[in-house]
Amino acid sequence: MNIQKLVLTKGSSPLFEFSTKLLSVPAVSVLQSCGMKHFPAPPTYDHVEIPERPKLRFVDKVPYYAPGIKAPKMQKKLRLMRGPEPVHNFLIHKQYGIMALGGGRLKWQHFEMMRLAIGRKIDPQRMFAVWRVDSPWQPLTRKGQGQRMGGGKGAIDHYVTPIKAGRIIVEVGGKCEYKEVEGFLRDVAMKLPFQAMAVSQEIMDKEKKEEEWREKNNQNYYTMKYVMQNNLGGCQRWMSPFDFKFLGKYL
Amino acid sequence: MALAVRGILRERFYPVVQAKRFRGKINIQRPKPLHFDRAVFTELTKPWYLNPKRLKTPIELCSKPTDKIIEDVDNPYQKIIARELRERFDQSRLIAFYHRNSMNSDQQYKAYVAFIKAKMHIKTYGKKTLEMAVKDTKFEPVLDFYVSQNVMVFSPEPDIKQLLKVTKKFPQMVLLAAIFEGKFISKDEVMELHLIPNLQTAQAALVQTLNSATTTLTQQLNSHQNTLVSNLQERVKQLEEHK
Repeated sequence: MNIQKLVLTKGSSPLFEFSTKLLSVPAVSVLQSCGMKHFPAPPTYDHVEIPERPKLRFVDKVPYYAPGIKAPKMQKKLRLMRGPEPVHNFLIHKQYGIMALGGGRLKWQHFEMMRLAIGRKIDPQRMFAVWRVDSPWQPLTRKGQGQRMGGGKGAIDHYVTPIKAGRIIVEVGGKCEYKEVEGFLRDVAMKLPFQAMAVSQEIMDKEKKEEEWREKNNQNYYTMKYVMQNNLGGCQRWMSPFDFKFLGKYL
Repeated sequence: MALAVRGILRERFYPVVQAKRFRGKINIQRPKPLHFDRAVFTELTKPWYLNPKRLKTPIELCSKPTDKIIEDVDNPYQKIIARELRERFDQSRLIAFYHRNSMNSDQQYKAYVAFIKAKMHIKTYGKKTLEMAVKDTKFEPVLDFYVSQNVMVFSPEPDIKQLLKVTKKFPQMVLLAAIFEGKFISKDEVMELHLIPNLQTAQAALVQTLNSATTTLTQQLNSHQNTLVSNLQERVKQLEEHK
């Protein structure tokens, strides 16, 4: 099977190159050529092992405490949502997943939404999904409606999992291509309470390379990092401790 | 001394470092709009890059990029076809190269059938496949006239007569050159070879030419005897008819 290809060849006159550059229009000849169609072999996923339980496990609404122990209340700890994720920011199975682009909190309802949506869409024979976050553990308290200030800390209302930017929430793998999973992963990512996107290993590698290129080829000598570290314009006067840590990159 | 102490105490001493607590409660989902100073700093520290097109000439910018056309680096199927073609080149004793002008599919099929009947195979290959097959071999000159629509006929027997007989029926197939017994021959040489009879006849003719001197001599020596014999035979016939 032959496919038509347009091969562009540039006409050059080696004798009077200088004059041609100045005056005449360089010739460009178009030669139509036929080539043999190449059907490359499809990718093999023989190295991928599908676990026994391919679907996402059920996550508890409330963490388990030994009987007799009162569920402890906790500080808000917004720092658990701020800044970049230093640990769980890569794909274990090196295939596909959902990455958080901003900080936030995942409630049990979000977990259920993800579990059911992904469970419905994957083919359990050849695909699997795993959680990359803990089930809700951080207690959030609420006071009753119309309650006045004071009277102690409110009662535990529900539990959440704090998420930092760059965290992998869920991973999907198996004998499948990115095009198959991208659709439903993106749908799920849109429903999360923070900015999130469907990723694959290739996307992450590409992004890393681009980030390196951007850092290297930035023509602006005065980056936020430089400005903050050198206290240009007295900016350290209004910088927060988080700015000293994240240097303007994260909120 | 008491006065000095009082003087020191009278001077107010302000510490250089003052502890200040930072109220860092932010809403990560709905971030506060930036303070003007910070916004100015953010805008000034925005990164910018050199335009990759800045050093390119107008020709490079306006013409279609050639590097975007993907050449097949490794096509296993094409390799197989090339190998097959190479085998045909080695095994066929007569290979004819044609330029094919436009002809109907019906005509093409008829040509195919006619060649098959003469025990020849008509084949069309792409230039790239041919290149893969004949590059760095003795058949490399074939690539020189492989321009435009080309067709090859492979014959296990070096039968030029049959080839030309079939070719005559299809004027759209223009014979360019041939390979006869592993040697390149032009169209004129093909015609010459066509006129030559087969090997045995040629050998017989050679033998005759070699013996020509002796045969003429014997003929001349026996001429008188032969004429006498023929005349007597005629006379015998006449007499028998007369009876």
